[in-house]
Amino acid sequence: MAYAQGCSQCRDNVNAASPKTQQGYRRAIGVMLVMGCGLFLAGLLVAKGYRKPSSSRQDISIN
Amino acid sequence: MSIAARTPVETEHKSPSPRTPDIGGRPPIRHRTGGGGGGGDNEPDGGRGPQERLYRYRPGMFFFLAADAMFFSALVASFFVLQSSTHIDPRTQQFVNTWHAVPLPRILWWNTLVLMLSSVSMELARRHMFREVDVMDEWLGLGKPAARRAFPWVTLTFLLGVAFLTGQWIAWRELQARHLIFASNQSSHFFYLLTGLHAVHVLMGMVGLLAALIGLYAAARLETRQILVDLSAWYWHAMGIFWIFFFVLLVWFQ
Repeated sequence: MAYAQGCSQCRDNVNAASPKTQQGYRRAIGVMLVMGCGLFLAGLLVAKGYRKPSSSRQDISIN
Repeated sequence: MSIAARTPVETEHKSPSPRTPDIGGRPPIRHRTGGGGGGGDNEPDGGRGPQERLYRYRPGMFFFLAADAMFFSALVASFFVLQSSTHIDPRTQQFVNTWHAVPLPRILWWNTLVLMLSSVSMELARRHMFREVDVMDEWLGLGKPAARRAFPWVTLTFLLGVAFLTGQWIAWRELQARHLIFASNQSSHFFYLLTGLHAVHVLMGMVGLLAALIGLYAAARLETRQILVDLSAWYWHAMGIFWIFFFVLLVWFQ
């Protein structure tokens, strides 16, 4: 019973909506999902490109 | 001789990480700098040379534009929901959709072309600021060839930006003449919201271009001039991409 309490109202609303409205919700979720995931991946690529070089300056002192 | 010289270096590689602290939390002796600015001890860890500042500013712009993209995608998501939302007609007991597509003014196609051209001119300006020969001349103090070459392209971008905003204004006036104002219906509401917010962003970009134009002459350091043009260019390209996204949405998804 406690499962998905917060979402049950939304689910009922969407189930009661017309098929066209349901399609609109699907598109909207798709837009948010693609943009969010795309930006997350792009952020990862940017972070990877800006990673500090681990061995940029090596100590080459000779005893 | 060379083998004997190489052996101790290999031993150094197997030693603990340079960040491993020695007694008292200080780094091992061989990784301590002598102070006085020599030996690169004034450089930050992982320093990237003369473009250090540029590489710090670019991610800042990226994350700003990412936040902007999420804001616009939320608007587009609500566009899809409202476009397909229906209510039940009490007389017929059937779902009714009251969304009426906005007839797009023809000038929007020209505006799109103008914005694409402005993106090309801005990219040319950005590339001129990083042209190796000119950058070297500027760095050596032999005038400002990079800035001199970039200036006309930034100016052209600014003028194309003015043309784009003027075109948007004409489009809004055209719709108003057809009695389609902000509050006419949900679709016109979204049309004005998307194009209006985008125009505000383009205006902000033009302020950035103006700052870049002033900076090309007034900024003392080459790197500052590069940063101004580079960041303005990234912002401007993002506005171009956003506009294509909205234009496709308005033309084919209404």
